[in-house]
Amino acid sequence: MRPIRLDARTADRLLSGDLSPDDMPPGYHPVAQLLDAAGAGQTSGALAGEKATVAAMRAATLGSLASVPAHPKKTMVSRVLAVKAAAAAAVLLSAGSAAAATGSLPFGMQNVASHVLAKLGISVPGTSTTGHGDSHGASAGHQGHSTGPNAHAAFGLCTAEAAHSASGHEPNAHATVFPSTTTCTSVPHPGNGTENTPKPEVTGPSAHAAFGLCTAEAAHSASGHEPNAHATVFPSTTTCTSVPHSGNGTENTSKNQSTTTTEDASTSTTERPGPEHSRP
Amino acid sequence: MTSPPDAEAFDSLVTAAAEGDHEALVALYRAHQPALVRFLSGLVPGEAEDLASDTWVDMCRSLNRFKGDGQDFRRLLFTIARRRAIDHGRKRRRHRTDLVDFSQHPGFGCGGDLAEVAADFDAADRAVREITTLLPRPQAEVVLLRVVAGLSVTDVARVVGRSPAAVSVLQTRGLRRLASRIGSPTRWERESEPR
Repeated sequence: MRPIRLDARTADRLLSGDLSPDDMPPGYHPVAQLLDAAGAGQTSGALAGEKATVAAMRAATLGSLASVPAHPKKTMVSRVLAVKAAAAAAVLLSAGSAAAATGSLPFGMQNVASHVLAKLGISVPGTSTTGHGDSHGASAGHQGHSTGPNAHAAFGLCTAEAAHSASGHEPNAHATVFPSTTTCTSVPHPGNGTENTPKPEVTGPSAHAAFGLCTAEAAHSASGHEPNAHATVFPSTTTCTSVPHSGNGTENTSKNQSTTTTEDASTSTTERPGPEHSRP
Repeated sequence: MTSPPDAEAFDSLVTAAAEGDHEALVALYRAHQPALVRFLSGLVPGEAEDLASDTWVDMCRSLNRFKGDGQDFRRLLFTIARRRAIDHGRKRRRHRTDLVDFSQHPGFGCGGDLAEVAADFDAADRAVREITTLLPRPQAEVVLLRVVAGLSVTDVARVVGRSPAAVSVLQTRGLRRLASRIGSPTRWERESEPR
């Protein structure tokens, strides 16, 4: 029997139920009725096995949930990173930004410190090789021996903290983060005298850092510049009277001295905006 | 752009079902089971309910990874069902123990037996049987997926693994054949063309 003519578009409309009786091609009314019967209504007994089937469905669902862990690798990586981040933060705070400011943190940590402290508006060198490096040997020492916070740096920070507290300055979100007073009570003076003058093999910033700060403070006071809220907080004059000169006369020392002065001054300058600003 | 309420409701339903919520699973089952059984009865008469249960279990095993709307869910469900039917047919052919080959008997559907042919089915079942009796298997599948499962040409193409253009050709030829056969005095006469 010859098939009755039907185009693809009409066939699609017929199957979709979008064909009105008026548009139905001749001979296709029975087909439309057949399709309607097949697509509509309930199939007898279709839901008879509901209880057993749904129970099986639930077992399959719960079984698949139990067998698939929720991104274990991602969770482990996140956990490791969180621990590392916390450890890095603890080291940074305990070592002190002063150590970072002098570029004396262990190699690698210096870059981290530079990046983190930059977010607080504090500019520190980005590598452990700084102007201090060659002459002090402190950075070189740090590079070779990363044994944790340096006694000189911690003392310098504590000194600065005491000075800050005594100055009556308001806390400044952009200022150096000082160790707590409790912590500072257990930080000893790194020592005085020329024999403690840093040699290339000595690790960490030396008393040059404290002396440098005091020198900068004296220069600042003599300049007549107004106090600046954003500047480095210098040690008090009283404190500075007990900080010895870091060394005179020797070729090495003078080089250190000039470098120290320049470095510390530049460090403090970094913290201190121009003359137009004023410290409260 | 916010999802329409129905889509949100469906998302919530699937999420709950994926977590093993009994009511959510019942809702999904009742919404799709009649069409599922009807479709499978056209492919494998007498085994439709068992295969439907197997289909649901397969579906639920991957429910926690399912992403899509109601149409996507329906398409996946019938894809699984069709594959179950195909696998079942292959197993039956490998383990066939029938003494009489009923497949050559007039009025025989897609591998069913005479008892089922003579059974008093409801109108929907009879209509499905007529479609699968009068059409070659590829055409019958496409027509059933369009009419019983309510899938679009694109979705049917994905279910059967053909292009939308091929599906369009199959459904057009299928309707032409139905039109030429319906109303004939020998309605149960088996097609001479291979299925």
